[in-house]
Amino acid sequence: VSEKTTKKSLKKLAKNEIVMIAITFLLLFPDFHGWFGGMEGRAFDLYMSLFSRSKVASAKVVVIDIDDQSYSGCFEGVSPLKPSKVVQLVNYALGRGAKVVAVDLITDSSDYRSARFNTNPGQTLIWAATAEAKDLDISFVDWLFGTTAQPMAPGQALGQKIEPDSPFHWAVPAYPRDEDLRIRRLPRYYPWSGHENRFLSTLPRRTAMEFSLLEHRSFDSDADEVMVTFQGEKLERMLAREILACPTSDQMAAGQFDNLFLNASIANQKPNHLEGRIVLIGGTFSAGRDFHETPLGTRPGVVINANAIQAELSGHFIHDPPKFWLFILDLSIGSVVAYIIWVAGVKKPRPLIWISIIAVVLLYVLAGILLYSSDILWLSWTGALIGALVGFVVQMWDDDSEGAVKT
Amino acid sequence: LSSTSTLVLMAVLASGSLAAESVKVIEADSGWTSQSQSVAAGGTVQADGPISGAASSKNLVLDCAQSGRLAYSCKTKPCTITACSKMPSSDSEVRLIDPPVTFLGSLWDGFMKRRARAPVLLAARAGGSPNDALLLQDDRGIHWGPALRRVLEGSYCFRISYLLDGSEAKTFQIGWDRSVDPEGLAALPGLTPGGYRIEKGSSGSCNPDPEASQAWVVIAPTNRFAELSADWQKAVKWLDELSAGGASPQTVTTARQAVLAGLAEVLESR
Repeated sequence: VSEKTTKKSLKKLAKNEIVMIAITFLLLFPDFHGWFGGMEGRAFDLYMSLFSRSKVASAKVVVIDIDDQSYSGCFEGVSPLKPSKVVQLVNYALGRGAKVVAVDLITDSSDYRSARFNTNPGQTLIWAATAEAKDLDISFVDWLFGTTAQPMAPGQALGQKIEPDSPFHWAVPAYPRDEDLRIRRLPRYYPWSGHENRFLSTLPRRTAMEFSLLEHRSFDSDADEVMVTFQGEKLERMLAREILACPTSDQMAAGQFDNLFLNASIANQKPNHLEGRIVLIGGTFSAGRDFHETPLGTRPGVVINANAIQAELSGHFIHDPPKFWLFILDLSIGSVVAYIIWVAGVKKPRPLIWISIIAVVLLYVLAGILLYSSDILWLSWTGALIGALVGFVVQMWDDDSEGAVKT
Repeated sequence: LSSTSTLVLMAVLASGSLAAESVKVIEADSGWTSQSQSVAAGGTVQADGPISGAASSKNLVLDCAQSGRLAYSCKTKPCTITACSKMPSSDSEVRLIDPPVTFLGSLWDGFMKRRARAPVLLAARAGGSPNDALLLQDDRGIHWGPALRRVLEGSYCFRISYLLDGSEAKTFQIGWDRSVDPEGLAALPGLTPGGYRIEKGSSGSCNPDPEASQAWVVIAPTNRFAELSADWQKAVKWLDELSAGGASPQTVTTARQAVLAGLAEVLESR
């Protein structure tokens, strides 16, 4: 009788495991279609608000900001921004010894073609290029095996179409949005559509890489993503209107993003305030429409890029393992849950089983937070949580049915 | 069939045949033109119509419904292809890149594929698009100047569509130079007063520009302009205060467009 009971019991365990594998596999599809994205994103946001790291070793980035007053006073409130003024800003930064100058403005006007820049050896000038995603269809197989980066085709920078041999440095400030349209993480490069084995570097990665090369510092160029919501200390900035000495109006209200920058502009602090640093030229002016939702609130693109550069330099990377390995991990969790249910058996009080399962899931979430805190990877936990709960309900329903038959 | 049903049926059939005549352009490199206008991704061309390509033009992809997606390219010489034709001329090449999809196939595709959201560019653009405004229409034409505040001098084609249902209304060309004509006067015969969306065509053409942003304008006739302008000025003052009070640009835009929609409603209701 005992052997028979053991055999029956093992059969039950096998059944539990098969049900769990099936549930875990089926849950891949809603996950693939982004149905867990919103919940996952909220968990990420909560984590960011609780554990956001705010310290960096040393702030290397200075922003030259075209704010509303600069836009109105220097650029006469018209756009595209007057190339001659943008060139003046670039040459100002180069002339004051900035090591890397990154221009986070769309410069597709042909007037830039004749512009001259005073770049010295040991300085690098990088231009933001427009880019367009060429193929937005993601297949389930590609998603599962980790090739989800969207191919991009670069457009223009410096008034020229980007080619593989374009004679200037360029990069794309392109960021993917989550299902809730928020920006959370940034792939560091995109496959170049139509060019096999070529990649487009993102603006923060390219900027940090050039800076590290010039400084002879090591640089991790292989990590998958960087945290764009990394919030360093308040950024240092200079206002374009101070550099260009434009007329300003006392009537204009303070900029709504002033609180993201240090109070005083650093323009008049010391003559060599830009020397050896990264200068990011961008705009917070309203007409630029470069404002984006992040877990930390609405942020101008130039601020997100500046923080992403700091994250690059500080090594705050995220590795994105193929979904397949996360699926295997989910299977393991499912297997443990099935085992708990089997060990507990139907005769054990249900609250005890609940507590055991919740403990497993909490351990999983905790492991996820630890891995993320260590800049290793962001562990998707929603599938595991839902899988465990659905599995539990299915198993209990199955046990109840068996009990009813026996009765 | 009742006469109403017949009319509805005719309308449906007519819209079906119209839809069958236009073909969506999925992708187009520069160098392709149809009826003297450059062909751009997102636009449409006439099915079975000729499309000319410069020498070595590549990457013209058309969505030819029943025939699937076809990609055309010119060889070393300029070529002319027939939209959705599978037979290439001696100077062109055609290949099927996406076969036609059956109903079951589309269900399977829907399950096994998804469309990612397009990435956004984080760079200040201010791409010279028109801005929301109230415009005067008089005997000489429409005074577009107030809507072109952010647009640099140059020659442009603008696309106008009705605010109410989004249907395309008109396109017009303007040589915009604020030092010569700050009013930006251009006639657009047949455009009735009311609310409209306005957007700039791509690269000097009248084709839609996927990166262009739309602005809302209300076009008011002379006899109503003063009254509406007074309301609009009050609203602008309030919107400035709203912006100064820390409201996000999106909030201010929404509020401004709500005001314009209200003005359009007032204008059109009388």
